[in-house]
Amino acid sequence: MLIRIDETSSTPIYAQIAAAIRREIGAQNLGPGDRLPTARDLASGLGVNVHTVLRAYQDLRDEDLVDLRRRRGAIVVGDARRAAHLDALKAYVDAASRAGMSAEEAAELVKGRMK
Amino acid sequence: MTRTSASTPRSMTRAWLIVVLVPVLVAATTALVLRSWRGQLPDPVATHWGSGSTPDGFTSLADLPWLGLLALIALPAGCLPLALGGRQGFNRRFAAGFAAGMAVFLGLVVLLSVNAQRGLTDAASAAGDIDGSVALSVLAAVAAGALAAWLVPGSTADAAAALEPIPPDAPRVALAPGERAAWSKRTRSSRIAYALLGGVLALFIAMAIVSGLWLTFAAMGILLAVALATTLVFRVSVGEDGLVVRGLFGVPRFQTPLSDVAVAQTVSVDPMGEFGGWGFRIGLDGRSGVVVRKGEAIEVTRGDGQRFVVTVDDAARGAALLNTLADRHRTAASR
Repeated sequence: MLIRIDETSSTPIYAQIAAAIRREIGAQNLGPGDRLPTARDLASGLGVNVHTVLRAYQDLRDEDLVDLRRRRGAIVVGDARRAAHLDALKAYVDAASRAGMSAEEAAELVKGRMK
Repeated sequence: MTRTSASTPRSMTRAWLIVVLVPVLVAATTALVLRSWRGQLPDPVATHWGSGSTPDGFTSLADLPWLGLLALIALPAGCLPLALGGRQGFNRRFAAGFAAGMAVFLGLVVLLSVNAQRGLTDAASAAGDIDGSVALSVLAAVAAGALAAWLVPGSTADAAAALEPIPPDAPRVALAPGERAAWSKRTRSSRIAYALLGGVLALFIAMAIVSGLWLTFAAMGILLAVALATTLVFRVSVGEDGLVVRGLFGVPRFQTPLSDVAVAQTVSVDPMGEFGGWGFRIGLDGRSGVVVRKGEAIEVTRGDGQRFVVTVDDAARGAALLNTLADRHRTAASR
């Protein structure tokens, strides 16, 4: 996997790392069963704090893309389709909040469409 | 292209000392202990056991000390070229670990098996606990080997700075000035390696059943498992630390710092044809490498012209990023 982060961007580094891993899953460079590097190794490779990488891994776990285990590290569980859904969802949520919609309104819109 | 490291001689001295001193000390101790047991031993002594615990080989008491001595003196002779030659710290670690481990194994196995015969008048009745003796010797040898290898400094101390710029036609990743990047990938071993592993384990179990030496083969199984765990799976990373190749438990670890990268490229490797096998290897053309399967690999040329190869998928992106980061490192250093 290739992780790129932009220090000049306003997006937090941890979010950039999570997005990069999501993209790699979407592009099938990472797939279910693949092991991510340890947070310490990736942090050292990128020259960032280890907690920044851990936060990214935790976000991915909350999205069910990655399984975090104490001993065995981070293992990819989500596939490209799930990563694509999450990407599309993120774009929609961004657009909705830019448009000033509340969470309820945004959810209503989705429910209406999926009937 | 200058050598920037002063620790290479230290690594070499330690490896040299361990390779020569440990076997000689073990041989001398073994000979002295055997000598002190002289009055209590049968003549000849049982020195070889067939299946089960029946001795089928004997050595006269006078020749006994020579038996261990010859084997132990041959060890440094065999390991010295590895300990002295080559720039790779890994070679020296391996030589030191192997010499110390083998010496401890041979010395202990002789002492323990002869110890069981003290007080006997006829060595043919020497049942002894040969199984336990061998198993104990194998485990002690692994511990001694690991300690010796740990005492010899590794290869990161051997970095030689590359001073020339990275060739402009070498592959690169387009990175904006504020961007950072890291690449990481696990190597996959060939199926043949796993099939071989299964075959050897089955053989061990069969031999344990036939010979009844369960402890011995369990100890050898552990030794094999540890050896394979550190040769089958590697994590290859490219980032601020340069190119890092690490085994399953972090060892062994091979690092080429960014300052040491002259150029990285993608090559195709045939482990058997070019390196004579799998794992950590020195190739016929002088390249060193971690080669675990046939196919694409990252090849990095170091500051002193030495080349290091690691077989890994997605090698193109890894090599390109390594060039890009090395470039940047050099620009930053010259400013």
